[in-house]
Amino acid sequence: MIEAAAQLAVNAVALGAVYALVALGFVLVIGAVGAVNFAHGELVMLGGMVGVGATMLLPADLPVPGLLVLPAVLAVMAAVGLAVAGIAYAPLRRAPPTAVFIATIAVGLIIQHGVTVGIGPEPRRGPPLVDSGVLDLAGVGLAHQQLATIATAAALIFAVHFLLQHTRFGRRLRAAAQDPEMARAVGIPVRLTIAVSFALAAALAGAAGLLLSNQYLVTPTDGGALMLKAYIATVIGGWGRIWGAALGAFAIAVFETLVAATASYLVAEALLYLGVLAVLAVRPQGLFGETTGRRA
Amino acid sequence: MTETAPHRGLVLEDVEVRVAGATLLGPVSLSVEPGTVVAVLGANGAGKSTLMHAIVGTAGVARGRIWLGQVEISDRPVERRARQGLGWAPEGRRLFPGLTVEETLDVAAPGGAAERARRIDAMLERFPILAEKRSETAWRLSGGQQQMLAIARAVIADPLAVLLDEPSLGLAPVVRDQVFAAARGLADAGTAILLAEQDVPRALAVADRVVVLARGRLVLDWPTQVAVGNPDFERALIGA
Amino acid sequence: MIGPDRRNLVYLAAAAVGLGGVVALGDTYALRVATLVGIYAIAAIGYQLVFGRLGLLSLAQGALFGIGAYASALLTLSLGLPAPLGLVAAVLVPAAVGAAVALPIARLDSHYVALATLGLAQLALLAATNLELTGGANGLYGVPPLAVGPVEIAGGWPMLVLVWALVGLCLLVSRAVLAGGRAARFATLRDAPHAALTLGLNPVPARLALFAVAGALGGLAGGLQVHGIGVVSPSVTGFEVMVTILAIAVVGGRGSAPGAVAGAALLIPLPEVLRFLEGSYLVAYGVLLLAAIVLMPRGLDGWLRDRFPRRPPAVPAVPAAASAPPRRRGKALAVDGLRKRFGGVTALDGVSFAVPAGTVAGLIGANGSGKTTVLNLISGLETPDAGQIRLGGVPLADRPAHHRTELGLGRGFQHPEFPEGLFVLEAAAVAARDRSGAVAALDRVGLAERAGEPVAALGAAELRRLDLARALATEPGALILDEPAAGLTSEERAALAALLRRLADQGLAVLVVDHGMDFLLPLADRIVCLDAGRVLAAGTPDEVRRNPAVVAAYLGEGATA
Repeated sequence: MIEAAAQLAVNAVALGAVYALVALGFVLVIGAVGAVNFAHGELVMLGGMVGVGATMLLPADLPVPGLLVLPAVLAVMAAVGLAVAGIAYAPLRRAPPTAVFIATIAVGLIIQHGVTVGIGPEPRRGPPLVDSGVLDLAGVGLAHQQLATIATAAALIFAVHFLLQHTRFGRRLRAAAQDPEMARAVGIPVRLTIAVSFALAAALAGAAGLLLSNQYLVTPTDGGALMLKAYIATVIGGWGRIWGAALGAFAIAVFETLVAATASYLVAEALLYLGVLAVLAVRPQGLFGETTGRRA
Repeated sequence: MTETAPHRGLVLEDVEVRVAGATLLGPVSLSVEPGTVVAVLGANGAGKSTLMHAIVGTAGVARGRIWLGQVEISDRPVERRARQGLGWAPEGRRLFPGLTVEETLDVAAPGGAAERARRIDAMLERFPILAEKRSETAWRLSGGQQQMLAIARAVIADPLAVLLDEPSLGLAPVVRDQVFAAARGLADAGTAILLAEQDVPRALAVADRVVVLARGRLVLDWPTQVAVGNPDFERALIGA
Repeated sequence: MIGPDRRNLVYLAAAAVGLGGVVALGDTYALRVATLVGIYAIAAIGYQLVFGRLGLLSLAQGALFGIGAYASALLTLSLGLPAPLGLVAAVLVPAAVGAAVALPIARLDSHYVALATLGLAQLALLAATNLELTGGANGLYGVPPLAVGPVEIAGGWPMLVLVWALVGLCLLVSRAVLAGGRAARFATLRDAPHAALTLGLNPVPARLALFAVAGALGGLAGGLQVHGIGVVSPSVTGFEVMVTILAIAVVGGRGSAPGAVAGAALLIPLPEVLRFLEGSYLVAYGVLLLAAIVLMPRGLDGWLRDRFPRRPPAVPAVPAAASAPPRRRGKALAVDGLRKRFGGVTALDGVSFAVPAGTVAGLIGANGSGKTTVLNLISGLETPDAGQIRLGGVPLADRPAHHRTELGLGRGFQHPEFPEGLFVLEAAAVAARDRSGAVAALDRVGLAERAGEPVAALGAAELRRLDLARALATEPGALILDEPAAGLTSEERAALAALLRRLADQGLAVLVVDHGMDFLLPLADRIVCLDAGRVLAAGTPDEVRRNPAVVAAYLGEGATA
């Protein structure tokens, strides 16, 4: 009983940490350009696929394969993020708000089906971060993968927090997100901060994909549900609030894990969507209220 | 048409701003020499803020030229004008709501970490009101503190010219005195100050010259001593 | 519109070519593709109403398509009802769902609408995949084909003809929904929401109606699909259908029904044409959608509109009665003790004044003195914390903005917004009783000769007058104007002042906010000066101008310098 509960708890926390990573990237872009990146889920999936591919290039019995591959995933996905910014955002800077939304829907389509056509629709298993071992803690077996996932996600989240709160560039990024025109007027290179926001968001998404790929496998069609959860988390946490979105995502993961364990994953999903519709009908500004000005 | 500016302050020549066929401002020619305060007066809607936006670069200029520090900035984007030496404390302050006092100054300060720290300390010394609120988030400050922060943010990079847009708005009289004193202090240190205001007496008290805008046109450009007490000046202000 | 626009001739010609192509090819596959084009065209025509005309990024159209398919399948399979009745259900059930969704959702901001409709679509997908009723992941099969009497319409030419006849019907339905000036009204609600409210346009019935019709057409398409192929599976509620419809709508031109048909004709045969790409036609859809939104955001229809602009509407003659003062009575405007706080800031602190009918009153004051707040409270865009507003003696307190127009309040804006692509007459007629009323209003502001021109051809001063005309077309008893003279030349200002004087002489109560005495001095009967949310002075222009408190407020605060 205790063992099952402990494992459930660890699962929930691990999933929560990863979902928080996903939501973090999602809301960074919203803050930076006020637009929803509909392709964000596909970026998570792509990160997982990059992880799978990178592992194939490594010798078979390397220790900590996932951790070794992580920097490559971050770098590749950052480049992809810049590409998405260039294709789907930059040409539409002056267009009406929903144009970026639609453009990112298109990009998501391209990524999802490009991957399907390119390497096939089957689910693939990504590398374990450390190994497939199990830690015995007072009689309870905790998978290394889960623990490493929590640690890695926490490290990345902490790194983002450090960047935003304790570096000059992070402060400038926040200023540009809050008032781009005023930021320019104090000399902040807003185009650069926007590009970096996209790159950072994609890198975080890719890392999340890598973290998910070992336990949950990665399938080309994964993107939609992940993006939807990040979207929901952002609304729950208050549109534009970075840590509100992360908290919201964590809550969704915990909810999902618990309900799936007691009833079924199906019930969890259905309740989630019903809950969101209720929230939108009653208090659309979320738990903590909105911050940024709006674009679609 | 002049080829270069006569001094290292702010110079405008025949600047015109048009939106959807209506001329909001202009043509306006104006000169703010280093170390002087030029007050821009006029009723709300007369074009004071439009003038500021045209200089900062956030409003498109249909005609005319602008120089700063003897460099023409007419075609430069906003960031480059700022780096050329233009500071702006906009109407309504527009502080970055989630940043603390220190963070706000940090993002606007140039240079490496040590230089930025030095400049921040210098600002906090010059505006002691801010020193005790160093780690406070901008939206928590009082009106006067916010205005001081907006001005400090505009000056931390040692600009050649600073635009102050209605800094006294919403402030109590005592605080206004401090704000205007700060503006005069900046000018005395060599900066060119363009001050748009509705608090006429205080503006006159610190300005070297006064300019009146009405319906987007410049109707008057006189040294302060000439304007004070002059009935034509008062008529121009009321807009009658 | 009178007479066929040349654009429609282009569409007809393209349709003829398409038909010719299908006839020439003649094989069953070509017929099936052509039928599918028609089915998606129907779904997209419905979608254009919500996506284009309401301007909402709904992501539920695919789900409504699927709900229609399942509704019809269930009725015909489980209940054994004849197929045409199934189609009726396919139309009605999604229409009801659409209307039910519209109420809570449609007032939200764009990014929330997308999420809400996405959530709805996911729920539909979950229901389809997991309920026993819907056959679970395998769906339902053996759905009977449509039949007219004993004649089955299963495929081939009969199905093609039926579907395209329905396409024609849906085009007519779409046109009917947008006729009678409704297109201009929806566009105003979408592009100029504040103006729309002050013109008396109510957004709620529009949303309900358009969401319901979109649901109906989406469901019809789903129903036709399921009877055509005999099976229904959860994928019909999936995102692929939604993305296809979205791509069709964007490529065809947002808001255009014939564009939706053209978009479908272009995109649906793509898997065939791009056969060499095998399963990657969805990648091609993505690329096309991206290219369309970046390079040709107004789509095919937009491109055609540039080449073949719409013909100007027929302009009725100015009614003779327009030159005589109108019969409607002016209504006095009175505000009493208005208070309003925004957060910690007191915008208004007990403002009272009156504007009798047949007079012009000016409202002046410095930046932040509360002038615009007063106007917003009077027109109902904000609610006061305390105080009363009366129009012709009737209290306005709890009435929403669009009701106040009915009572006789009109408003002019400093930066009036007009939806794209309208002609002057159409813009003026948005809230008018009929076109001749609109022409009369245009005549009163001196724009009657320009009624047949596009709004885009007007300059700033004329746009202000058009804004006035569209407010006057609602036959108001009182008019409130926000800085109408800003940015105008002195001749334009004089003409405007003369116009406002005429309106007052004809009986209206006119309240004008302005920042300078020069415009108001010769025009206003009374002036009210606000300072820091309170009335500082009120009286004739001369009295106010000489009032020492006013002079001090303009020249500075009292003696302390």
